[in-house]
Amino acid sequence: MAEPQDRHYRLNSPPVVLETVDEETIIVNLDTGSYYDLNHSGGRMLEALAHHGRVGAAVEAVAADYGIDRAEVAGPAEALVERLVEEGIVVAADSAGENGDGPANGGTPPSRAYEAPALSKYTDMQELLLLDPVHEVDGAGWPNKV
Amino acid sequence: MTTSAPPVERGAFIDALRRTAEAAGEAAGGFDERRFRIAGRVVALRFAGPALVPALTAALEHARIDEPGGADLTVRIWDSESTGTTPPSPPWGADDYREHGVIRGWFDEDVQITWQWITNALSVLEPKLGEGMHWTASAQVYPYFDRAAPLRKLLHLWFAHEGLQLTHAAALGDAGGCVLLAGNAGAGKSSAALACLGSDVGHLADDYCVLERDGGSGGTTVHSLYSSAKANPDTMQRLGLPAELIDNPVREPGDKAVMFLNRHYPGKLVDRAPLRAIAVPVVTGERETRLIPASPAAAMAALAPSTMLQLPGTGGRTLQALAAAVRSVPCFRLEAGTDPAGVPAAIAELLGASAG
Repeated sequence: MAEPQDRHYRLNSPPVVLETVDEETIIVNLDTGSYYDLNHSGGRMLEALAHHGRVGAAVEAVAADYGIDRAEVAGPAEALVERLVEEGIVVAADSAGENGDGPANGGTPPSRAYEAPALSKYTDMQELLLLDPVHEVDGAGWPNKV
Repeated sequence: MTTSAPPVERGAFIDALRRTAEAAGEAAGGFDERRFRIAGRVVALRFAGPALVPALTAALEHARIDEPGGADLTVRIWDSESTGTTPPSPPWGADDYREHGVIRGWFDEDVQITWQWITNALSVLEPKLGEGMHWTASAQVYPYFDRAAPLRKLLHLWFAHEGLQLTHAAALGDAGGCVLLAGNAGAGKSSAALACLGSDVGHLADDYCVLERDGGSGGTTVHSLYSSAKANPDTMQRLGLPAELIDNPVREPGDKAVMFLNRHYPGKLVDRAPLRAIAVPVVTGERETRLIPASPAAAMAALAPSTMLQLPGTGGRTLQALAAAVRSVPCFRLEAGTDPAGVPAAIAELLGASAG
């Protein structure tokens, strides 16, 4: 397996959708019903990862965005990617054809100082997604709950 | 993306279902068409007989219009029990009933078929044609939450086609501006909305409203959809609301009381209003109500998942629409106190501040 910095990922979309508002990113997994809040540095990392594909390239982009040393970003970024994979927010991707050119975020610089990525998970609405139990069908083929 | 049913099979089933609807209309002596103006569009509900009229129109009566003419959406509605008609058997299998009742293979940009559990009702929308069908075997089983928010999946899908967003939120204010109250079930949206009934703050929505983006100004218009409000009996008691408001005095344990506000507070209902603020209610147990600035992300977390995870066919566009609304206004945490006068005062304060 490749070193963490050389691994490639892509956003698992669909079912994952996300939107960044005021530099915080809300992520919704429409398959699991989990949703997430990702702080600004984490959102930058996820956006860079979705854009560049390779973890190392995303780390470099985030470090450049915040004007800090790559080494400060790398460890927390790898931990974040691990969480994102666990949660099914990103999935492994081929190295070929996944990398975007130019900056992510449209080149907009962050307005806040770098802090370690923080992903908060919420599961209180998963019940909205529960599939109805196995059901029986009547003679014409229409279902009823068991 | 699931594979859609073959066009021939699809067309045959929908044609057969449409013929059943027409047969139901004939059996009932003709369709009873009720017309409503919803989010600036005309929706015509064509009932084959009276059986389903009360359950599906009580929450829409405030939007009823009498003028003749065309409709942006026409929905044929019938039940088998009262019309003696039998729909074609479903050409899909028992495993094809998926999340939110979406029928696998029968849900794409041309045809969107969903099943409503408990009510056991089939909804078919052909969004490009502006046509729909709604059938159930018996009109007897429409639970209180479906009477309070009838046809919401079908309407949500049609709204999406129209560029509108059905949204899980209460909305309070007047024609000059309104506040969205966002949060999951039990967050305090309805309590806050009901607390405003005795105040000067008008009412657009208790649980569901419709958002429309104004491309020119970048603002958002909030449209009323249903006139219903739901509450636990103890909430009504705490707010001093009389039992005469309740439409379902006989309830199963755990059921909420339903009120149709157009019948009791017709002057309170507001058809539409520009969005001025979003508030996330929190019940604190303290006496005083407080407004605290909140991050847009907090408002998004309260608004988006509870909307997206209870409706079919949502995705990136839904999230974008909700984010656009959040970006357009200030956001607050509404710490709702036990003094019933506190919430309307806080809403009025928000609206006053935005007007100033």
